[in-house]
Amino acid sequence: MHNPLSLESMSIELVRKGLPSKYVQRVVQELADHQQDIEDEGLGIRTSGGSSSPTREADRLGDPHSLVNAIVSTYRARTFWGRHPWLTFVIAPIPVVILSFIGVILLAVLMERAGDCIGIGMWPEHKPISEWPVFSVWCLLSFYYGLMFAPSVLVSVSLCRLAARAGRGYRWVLAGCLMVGLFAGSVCYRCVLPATPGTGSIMIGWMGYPMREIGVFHFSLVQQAVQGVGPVAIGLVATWWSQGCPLRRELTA
Amino acid sequence: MNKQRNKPDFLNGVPELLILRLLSRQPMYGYEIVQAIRQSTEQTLDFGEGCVYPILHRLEAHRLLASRREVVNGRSRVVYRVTGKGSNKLAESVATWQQVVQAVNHVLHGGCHAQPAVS
Repeated sequence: MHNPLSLESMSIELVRKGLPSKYVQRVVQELADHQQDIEDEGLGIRTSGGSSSPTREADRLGDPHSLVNAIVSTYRARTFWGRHPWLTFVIAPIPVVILSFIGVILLAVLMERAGDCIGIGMWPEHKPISEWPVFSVWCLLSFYYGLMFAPSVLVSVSLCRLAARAGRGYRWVLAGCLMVGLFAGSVCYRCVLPATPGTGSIMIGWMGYPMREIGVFHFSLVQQAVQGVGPVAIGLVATWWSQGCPLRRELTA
Repeated sequence: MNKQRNKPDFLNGVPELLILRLLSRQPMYGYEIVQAIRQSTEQTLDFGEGCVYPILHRLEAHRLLASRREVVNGRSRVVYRVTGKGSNKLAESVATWQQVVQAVNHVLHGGCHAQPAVS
């Protein structure tokens, strides 16, 4: 590996396999320093009359492919999600999204309780919607649409960051975001504003259940598509921005 | 590198032990570490030199080593040094290694045999 270009191709290969570019820069720089030391040692030997072959010097750093594999596997072994990509990016996303739903609901309940304690009623349930202050209407709509999108967006963004930190490539990012998108796209929501006091409701179901059972299911292709495509779009954007994206490398080469 | 390919499984963990030991004596950079291993083991242990870097980075990620770019002999290098946690890990690993070596030697060079279950 006496050819300096092999370090550059190694760098490209490491980034392609999903390692962070900052780490790749560091390891390639250290290998370049090491290679320089080997060459200096060989030069010193030849200058003093000894024999040292440049080809043998080049081999000392090791086979580039084996070195790349060693660097990649060692980096990925650092973290749990790096060692277990199937669990992290295929199995775990859906349960995590469900837990996020629960988290958002609990947060809204806590905020409502806190508002009641300090005298700011978020949702005046004893009044019809036409008499609600603007603040309360905004709170309700924020909660409703936040519940619809926040958990899946948060989980998708987290998966993108985890993949980058784990040294896992764009395929795992897309796999994780696809799982989130499939689940998010199958969840249905129904919000009924209280035309009369006590008649408002927010219903959450899966694949139309239980709304179909009680005859209030209204399928909106646009809404379901946005819910499902959103996480996948996040994954695609993260893939595009990652240095390892082959399409981006081809277009910007 | 050929010796790396033929490295037996029981040598897993040996490079880490050697690196911690060498760095406990003095801070070194990658090339120095490889040379020190080669000289200290009289070239018995000789592996692809580039492979030392993922090991160093893993030890650093586990906070057993710390690194800093410094000027050594007029050139900029990343120099590694062992941390307190690394020193503790080294002591533990050396004790384990000595126990294992003693036990294996006991088997290889003969020792007391257990009574056979069936005569």
